[in-house]
Amino acid sequence: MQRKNKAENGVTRGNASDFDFNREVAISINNMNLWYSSFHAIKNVSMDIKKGEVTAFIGPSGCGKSTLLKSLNRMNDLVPGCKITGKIEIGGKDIYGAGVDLPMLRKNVGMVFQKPNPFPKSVYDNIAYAPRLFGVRDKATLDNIVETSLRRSAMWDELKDRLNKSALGLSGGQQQRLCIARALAADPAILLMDEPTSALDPISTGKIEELCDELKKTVTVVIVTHNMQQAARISDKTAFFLLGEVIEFDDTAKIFSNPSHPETERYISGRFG
Amino acid sequence: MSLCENEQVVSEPPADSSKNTKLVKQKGSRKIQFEKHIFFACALLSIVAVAAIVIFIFINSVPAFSKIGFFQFIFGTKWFPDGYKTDPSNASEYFGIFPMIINSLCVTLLSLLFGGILGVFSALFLVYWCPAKMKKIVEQLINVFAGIPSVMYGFFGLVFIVPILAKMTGTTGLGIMACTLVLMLMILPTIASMSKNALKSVPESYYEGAIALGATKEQAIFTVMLPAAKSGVVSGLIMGMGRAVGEAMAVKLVAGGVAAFPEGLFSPIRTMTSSIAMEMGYASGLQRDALIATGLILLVFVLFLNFALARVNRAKAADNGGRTSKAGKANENVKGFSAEVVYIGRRMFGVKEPIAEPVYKKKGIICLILKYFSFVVTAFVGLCLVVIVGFILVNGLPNMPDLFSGDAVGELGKAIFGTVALIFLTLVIAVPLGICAAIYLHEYSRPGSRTVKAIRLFNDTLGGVPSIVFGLFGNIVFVSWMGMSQCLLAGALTMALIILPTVIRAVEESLIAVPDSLREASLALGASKLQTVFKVVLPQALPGIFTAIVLSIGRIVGESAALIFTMGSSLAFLPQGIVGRGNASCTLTVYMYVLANEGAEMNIAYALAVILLLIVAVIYVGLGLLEHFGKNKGDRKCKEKIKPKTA
Repeated sequence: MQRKNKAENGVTRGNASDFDFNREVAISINNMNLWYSSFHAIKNVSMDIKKGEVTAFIGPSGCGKSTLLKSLNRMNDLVPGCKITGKIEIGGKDIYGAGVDLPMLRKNVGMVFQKPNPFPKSVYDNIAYAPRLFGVRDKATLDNIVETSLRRSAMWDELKDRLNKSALGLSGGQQQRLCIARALAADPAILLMDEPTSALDPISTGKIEELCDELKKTVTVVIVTHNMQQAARISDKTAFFLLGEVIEFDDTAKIFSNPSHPETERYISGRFG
Repeated sequence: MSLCENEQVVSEPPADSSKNTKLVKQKGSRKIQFEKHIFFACALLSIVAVAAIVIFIFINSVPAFSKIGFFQFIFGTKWFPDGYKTDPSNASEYFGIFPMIINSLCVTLLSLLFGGILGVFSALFLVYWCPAKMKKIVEQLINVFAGIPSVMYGFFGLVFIVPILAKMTGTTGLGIMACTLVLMLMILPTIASMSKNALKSVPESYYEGAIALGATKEQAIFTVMLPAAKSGVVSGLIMGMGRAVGEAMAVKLVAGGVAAFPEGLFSPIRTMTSSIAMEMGYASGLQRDALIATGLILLVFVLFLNFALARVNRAKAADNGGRTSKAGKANENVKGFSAEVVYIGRRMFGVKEPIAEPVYKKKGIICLILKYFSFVVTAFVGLCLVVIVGFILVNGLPNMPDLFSGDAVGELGKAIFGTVALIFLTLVIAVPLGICAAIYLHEYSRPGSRTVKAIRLFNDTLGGVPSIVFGLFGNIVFVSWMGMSQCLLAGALTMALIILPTVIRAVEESLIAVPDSLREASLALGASKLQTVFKVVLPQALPGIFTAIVLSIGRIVGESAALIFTMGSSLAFLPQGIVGRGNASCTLTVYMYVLANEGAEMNIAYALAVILLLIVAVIYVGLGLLEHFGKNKGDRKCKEKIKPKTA
């Protein structure tokens, strides 16, 4: 199933936009700075996020990790007074450069929010939302996308009998996984998750963590989390943020066993944050 | 008892303990029951009022139905009361209201169509595209326009729209088109402001979700935000429809008054409401009964609309709670079942439909067009409002001296006296009752119980009854049955029924806003429930009560249809008392209606229009500023707290 999917993805991505997601580095951040009016939220951040890996952003509240995540699909554009310098390349394209097609960027870089935000529509309409936006009208194709997306987020068996029920009737955990399925239906190459489990119970959290492991076969995942055990469990790479700077960015195993920076050690051993 | 005393001593300093013991004594369960019953009685008033209106109007329609025949009355096509006077044996020939029903429906639906489109799209513009600075001003303007008396819209229609239509078409200009335009202008602010509130209450997270999936701003608005606000928008449309179908005075001024089927958009017509407004003043005998029966038909129609509104609201509540209403559930079950069948069928028979490769390409032209449509619509609405105000000011200001000289100034004085007296009497009657009812609903009732739901439903229903029906009711009950004849008190009692739902609603909302922790703190200090309500809760809710009073004043100032047959329209002398023959009076709006209706002293009517406009503007702008400053105060406090903006 998944492999077939990948093949399909290749085709659609080719003709959908000029993003090139076949290269090794999915996201390349170079000397990036961000201000909210006068507040300097991100300072001189540079990092390369590799394709097919799960990258976790950790750090205390207000350290800029969610802000950086939101810059990757330009959701920060919605915040008034937000100013960015430096360069972010996604799929080989400068996403803050001239002539960037924002809808296409956001289609290719999906996002899951801290609080589940399904639309007040049926499960089916929620998932079919993005394909419909991008001109998919054919019923059979939409059915197929809905089923595939739900299977990819491991929800098909739970939800196949409730496709026409309101998504707001689902439990919190189900809503969040539905939001993941909804993002997957847009066929993204990168999936950004902004503390996706912070509003959920442990069982739902476990399901989403399993899902991340499954997802990295087809998409590059960047996840912001407050929960260090979660970062240790699911990510390949971890970036530690402090006061808008990336203190350390390395293999997860190394960060949690042998961090090279004393601040990182202090944080992961629970001495602050 | 002794146990209680001990507790008091433990928890309070000894100096206060004697006082507190007293409180404990007061707080018997019988006491609570007693005050609860009083509040309950007030809350029941709206049910009683709706029931009384239906019963009295029904009883008074019975003679008409029995003499004319129910079907002959509704489906009869001829309305000719004078014919009945010469030929009394043949009542069913001369009292048929079918053309009026058709006219009412035509005018209502057309104005709803235009007003709905204009209102919803201008609300969309206001919420999503309007520059922040302009937004506040426009919101204030909408409130002012929602508060302009309907007589003013009718007057504007008479002196501006009708002559233009007449010139364009070579007819009198009176008729369906003129009524539609006037009603459209009248219901537009209601629809716009309710749609605006519905759109604003859609969570921002839906918008972010849609944007993050690659929707453009326009697509997010038209595919997610507007559908999410659907039930609120539909409530606004139904309310607008209720106002349009129930409007009497404005329609009467521009309808033309011919009781016949419409021959086109520009032939004079008569609606159910305008028929009552035209003839109720002098009708007697069977003609009066037939007019009351017309009111009954109107009332049935409006009640039906109200129950539709209640249904929409219930669906909305269910949506918000993540549950679905019964009807929605059944519907979903059917849909879900059929979808399931399709899936299973496809599996079982191994149907391999050729599934097209999804091609994701950029879309959204329609949404972009809709966006620009909303710009155009808002510009048009703005132009209408500017023209209304401009026209009235340009024609009214030069005539101001006429209003303040000769006979006119005396009449103006009497009308002002009538208005003030009516406001005072009405508020004295309605506000205490409304506050008590709200206290029952929020403080004493079991939340979500059947009684409370029924009271709320009837409260909303009462709020939706057309004022002309209130006028009929007041005329039947207070003026005739109780023998008050047309007087201040009859008008005030009628008016009190009209504003009661507004007062209850506004006070209840302000009670809801009082945090429960305050009540708990007061109760925990040993205060009784009654003391808690009057000493802690009500003072906190004072701004809400004040809002209710100002809104009520606005409503009283703007009312005409309900007053003209209860308080009268006499400006001959100042009333000496509040009840009984010879104490009829007149408000500014009724005075304006009389002038416009007679068409004799238009210069004074214009000048009066300016004064009414000013009063309305002062009331609603003042209210808006009050809310604005109240909110700002809160905002500033919040801002200080969250100043360091973090991510």
